[in-house]
Amino acid sequence: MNTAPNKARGSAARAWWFQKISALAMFPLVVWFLVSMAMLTGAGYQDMINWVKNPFVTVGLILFLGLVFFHLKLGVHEVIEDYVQDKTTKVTVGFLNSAFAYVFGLLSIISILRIALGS
Amino acid sequence: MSKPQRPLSPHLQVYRLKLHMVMSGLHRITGLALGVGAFVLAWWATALATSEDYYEFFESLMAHPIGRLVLFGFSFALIFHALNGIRHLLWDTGRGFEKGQVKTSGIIVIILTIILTVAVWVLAYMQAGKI
Repeated sequence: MNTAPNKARGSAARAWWFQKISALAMFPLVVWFLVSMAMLTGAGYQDMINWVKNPFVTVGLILFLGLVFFHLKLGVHEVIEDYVQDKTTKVTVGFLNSAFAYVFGLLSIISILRIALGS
Repeated sequence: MSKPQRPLSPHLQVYRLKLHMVMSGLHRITGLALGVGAFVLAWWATALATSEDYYEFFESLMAHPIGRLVLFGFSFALIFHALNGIRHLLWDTGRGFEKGQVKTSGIIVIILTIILTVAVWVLAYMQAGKI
């Protein structure tokens, strides 16, 4: 039935699954990113640019950053639902959370693309 | 008008602090801290895409002791949250709920977090030729 409670239940269940799937997908990328960053310590600007330009790295970074901001949005949303009681505040803060996640996620991904596709 | 003094259901303060409670709280706290880390990541990416001068400015901030502390906290929170996240995913499959198992997996996460965080930083400083 397409009733309000059912809809709400559907979106909460979906958020739960998305959070778990994004976590699982992110795990190998987190390991890769941490090791890469440690290995790139002391690397200068040009070394870093060259690293990002490697197609495998470009795709890895885009997936990693996309998943980071997606997972972050879901996680912070859960915290907001737990601690913000007032309905108007909850909706406002929830909207700001989504907006920040999308803006900074896009900013990161577009930056990586710009480096990768730049000459 | 004063609020009627109704009995409240017991909350955190009536329980002795146990490992699983600390782990649960830390999962959320590190998750929120990683939100700050995500902004550092976005800053890193945009700095790299902006210009060499701006990237070097970003790097100099991260090389400052305070910047280093932020990065260290970021790595610690990331490793803890990732490992404890695996614990949560295992619980989701219905495994590891016995009393002893919860404690053991918690201790494993703490020990691995410390070892791996130190390992990442040793690798980083070795790479930079400082060790």
